[in-house]
Amino acid sequence: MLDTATIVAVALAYLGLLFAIAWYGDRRADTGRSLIRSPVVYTFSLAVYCTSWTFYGAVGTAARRGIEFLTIYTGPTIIFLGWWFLLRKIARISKSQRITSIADFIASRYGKSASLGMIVTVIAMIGTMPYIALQLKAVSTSFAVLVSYEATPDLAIALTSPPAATLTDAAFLTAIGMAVFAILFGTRHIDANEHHEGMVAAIAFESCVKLLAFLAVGFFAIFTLGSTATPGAGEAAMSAGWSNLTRFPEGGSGRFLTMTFLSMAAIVCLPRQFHITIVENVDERHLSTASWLFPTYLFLMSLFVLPIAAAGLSLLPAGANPDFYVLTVPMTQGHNGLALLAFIGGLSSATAMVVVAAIALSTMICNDLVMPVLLRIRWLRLEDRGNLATLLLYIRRIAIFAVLLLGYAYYRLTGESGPLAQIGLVSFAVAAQFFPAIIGALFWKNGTRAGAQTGLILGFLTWAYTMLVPLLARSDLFSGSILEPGPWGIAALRPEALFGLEGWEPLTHALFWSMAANICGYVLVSLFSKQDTLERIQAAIFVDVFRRPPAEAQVWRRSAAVEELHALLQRFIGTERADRAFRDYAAEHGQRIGDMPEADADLVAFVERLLAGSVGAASARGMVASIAKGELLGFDEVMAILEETHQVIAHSREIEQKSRELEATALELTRANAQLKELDRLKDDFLSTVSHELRTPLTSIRTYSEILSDHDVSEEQADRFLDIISSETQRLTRLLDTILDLTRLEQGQAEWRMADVDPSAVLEDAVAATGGLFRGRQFDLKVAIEPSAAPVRADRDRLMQVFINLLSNAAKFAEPGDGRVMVVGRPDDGGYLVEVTDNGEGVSPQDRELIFEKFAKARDRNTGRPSGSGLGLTISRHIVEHHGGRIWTETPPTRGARFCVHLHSVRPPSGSRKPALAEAAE
Amino acid sequence: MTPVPPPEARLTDRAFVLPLLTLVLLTPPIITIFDVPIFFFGIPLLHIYCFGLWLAAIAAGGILSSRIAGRRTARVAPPRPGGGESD
Repeated sequence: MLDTATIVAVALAYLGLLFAIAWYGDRRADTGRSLIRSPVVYTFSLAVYCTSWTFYGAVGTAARRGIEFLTIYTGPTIIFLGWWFLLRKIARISKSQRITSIADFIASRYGKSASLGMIVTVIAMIGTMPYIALQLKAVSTSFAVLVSYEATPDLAIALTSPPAATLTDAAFLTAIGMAVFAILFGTRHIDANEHHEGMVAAIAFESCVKLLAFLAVGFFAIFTLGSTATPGAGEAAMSAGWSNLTRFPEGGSGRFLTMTFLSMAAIVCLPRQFHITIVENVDERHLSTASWLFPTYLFLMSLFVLPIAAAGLSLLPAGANPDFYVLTVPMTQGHNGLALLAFIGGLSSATAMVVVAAIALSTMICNDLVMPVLLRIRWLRLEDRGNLATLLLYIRRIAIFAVLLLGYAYYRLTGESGPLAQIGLVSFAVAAQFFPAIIGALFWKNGTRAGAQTGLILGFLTWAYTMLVPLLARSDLFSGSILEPGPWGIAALRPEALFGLEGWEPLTHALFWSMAANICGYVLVSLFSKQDTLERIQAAIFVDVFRRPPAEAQVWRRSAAVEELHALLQRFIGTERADRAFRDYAAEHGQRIGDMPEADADLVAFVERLLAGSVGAASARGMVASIAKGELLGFDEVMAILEETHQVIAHSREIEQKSRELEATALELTRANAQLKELDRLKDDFLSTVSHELRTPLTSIRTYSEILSDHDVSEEQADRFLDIISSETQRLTRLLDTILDLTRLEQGQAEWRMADVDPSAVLEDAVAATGGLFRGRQFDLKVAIEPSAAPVRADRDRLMQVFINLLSNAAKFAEPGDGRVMVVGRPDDGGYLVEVTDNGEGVSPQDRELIFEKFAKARDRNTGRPSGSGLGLTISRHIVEHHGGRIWTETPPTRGARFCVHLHSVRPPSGSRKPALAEAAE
Repeated sequence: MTPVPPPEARLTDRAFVLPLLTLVLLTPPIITIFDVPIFFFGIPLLHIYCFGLWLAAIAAGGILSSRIAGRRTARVAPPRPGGGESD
């Protein structure tokens, strides 16, 4: 059983908690340890989008029109998934221009126009009132549902008449409480960037609470649906409602598209949404996280809408208001605690929306409505007054009270007409009127102030006629005759069938006409009106924000006394902050403020930007203009600057391109250098190996010579030593010859006597020449040489050298004692292939490349037999490669090594050569 | 003209296509295709389609935004605010 006292106590305790969180958040911000510098907190604060309309009304919509409720969530999802193009650009511009509200944004883009700011503010106020009323209605109705459920479960009756207007009216108390909250945490001081950290922290907390409350009710609904096997009283409603719930609404395509578009526009254009997404954004990177995390939040919020609606349809009597299933479903099962949690969730969503909307609106009212008017009233001499910051704060506080009282009045006046969603959509449709002007502001440089004004006014008037008038006519404020047969009996002017557009669903109809009027007005007037200089420069700043736009200071030829500027700034943001701002500016520009006789255009623009952060672009411009002398450059000069800026951009891109090319070149050079170093190292290795190879025979020659000259040796010994000396000398000569040969080959100085040569004949000659080697060792030499099909272009002697080298290697490395060597020559693949196979130790795979290197004998294997210079294969490879052939080694099927040489023929086969099949050269 | 580094351009293109695709797939006439009386565990196909697609789009958005963030931090020295990025 829930009694009034319990509910009020819990609600008050909860609101107290919110105050505490906001207070703590502000305190943390003051000490520089911000609570809200986290993308998660930012995302939760964005969820101010989910008002009590979505908290309660989504279930209502689902029960009435099924899947259509999803549009309210998918629109924002799409916009956030496309953050890279829209929201990121708005955020970047707003940061650089110190934008304070959506009115400021639009006014600033179209030449810092005060009138445009006023128009946007007025439209936003009119659009927000029903929305605030909706929240108040939701709070008071949900309160009434909680208290009166026991008495009258059939809530259709209980909720038709508004509760008595007394001071204890829940809606009124809520409005007062929210106003106090907004004033305390939204207007603490005038900040240069409009950040209200405590408020944002509290909003983020509320978003957590409403999500948890909704999920709790959702799980409960699923559990209940699962356990109640017999639907009981709601069976009839269930069967009727079930098809609503599960099927796409009949003929609902137009409305579905309209609502998707509306919610897409709303997430950008609703003043409170703009405030929380853009103005309160402290770090652009948070948008990147929010781009998927916020849609996830929406996803979770909507996941249980259908189960709750289904549970409501099956458990509650047919007449029950589906807008409050979130409360009544738990109550049918006697779970009053859960219902109370749901009530707190609803309260959270209502308070969050109202607070942010009130703060956003009060900023707009103050900066774009009241200040421009006050500044225009000469006799107030506002520029000369002392501390204007306090004045601004008072204006905002009064504005907050006014906004909430107006919202309350609207709620009292319109009473209980229409379901929650209907009222919400009216507000969305107003906010959508800003959409064309904003998109144009971001992407179309030629949109003019006149165009934006025309579009906004036309769109708003059409909205009022097609949407507001029918609403008022239905609540008997207007004569019903305006709907049917039409004003003055003119059928073409019927608000719900304008120009005979009949049979359209009213929302789609209203949106179609208002957007048509809006966009046509904006585009057509823009095409036929001229931008003034400031507009043009602002357009460039907005549209080209990612491409180093021109600085605003460039287009002003103005100056002011430094003291006057300082005094102006100080009046708005206080002495201390003004001093700090000037010091920072001076430090950044390497000047001292005291040394400047006159502030230049740059400093003037700097002060104007700072002021804009407090009072909005249009007011700041007016105030700075009153003390700065000078003028804007002419149109042609501005065009020249824009042109120049573009040239500078193009130029800097060229430079970037060049520097990238240079980087690539430098990288190549580094690589080449590394290669050279490697070659240098190889040369050193080569030299040291050569010295080593030369030293061995030299040492033995010296040693034996010394023995011969110093010692008495027998004749016999002397002969032996002389033999050794002689053979070592020959070895030395051979080695030097080989090295010289290799050097010549490597340096390309070798002489080549190229001619057409028959490779098979050369091979036969080589076999004949080395026959003695094999015979001496009693090796078994098998020879199978087929005639070559065509000659190869080669130096015969060199080729001979290669073959002899391979054959003598085979003789050296074949198995001692039982050596078997096989020589094969045959035409192959357009050339001639020679294979020399032995049955020695073979070449291990990792050595296959190595053995062609200089001095790389496979010593580890045939230990003790380092015969040869170790250059033979290297030379052979040089020779073969010079002939365009290939030399390699492979492992034959049996043990041993096989060396192959492949040479290309010069011509296709021409005639038959002498058949020369030589058998065993032995 | 500056040749934009290809991976970045491709990311930007994907960031552009993702919301458009989501919009098309989550609105009539596409979603009316799934408006048929087929139920899985008592849940109509229409709802399974909508929520499933929505979840997939969110996942894609998450991957995309982490890639974009990774690319931005990978730059050694990010250009001055607004410098050099394509919009």
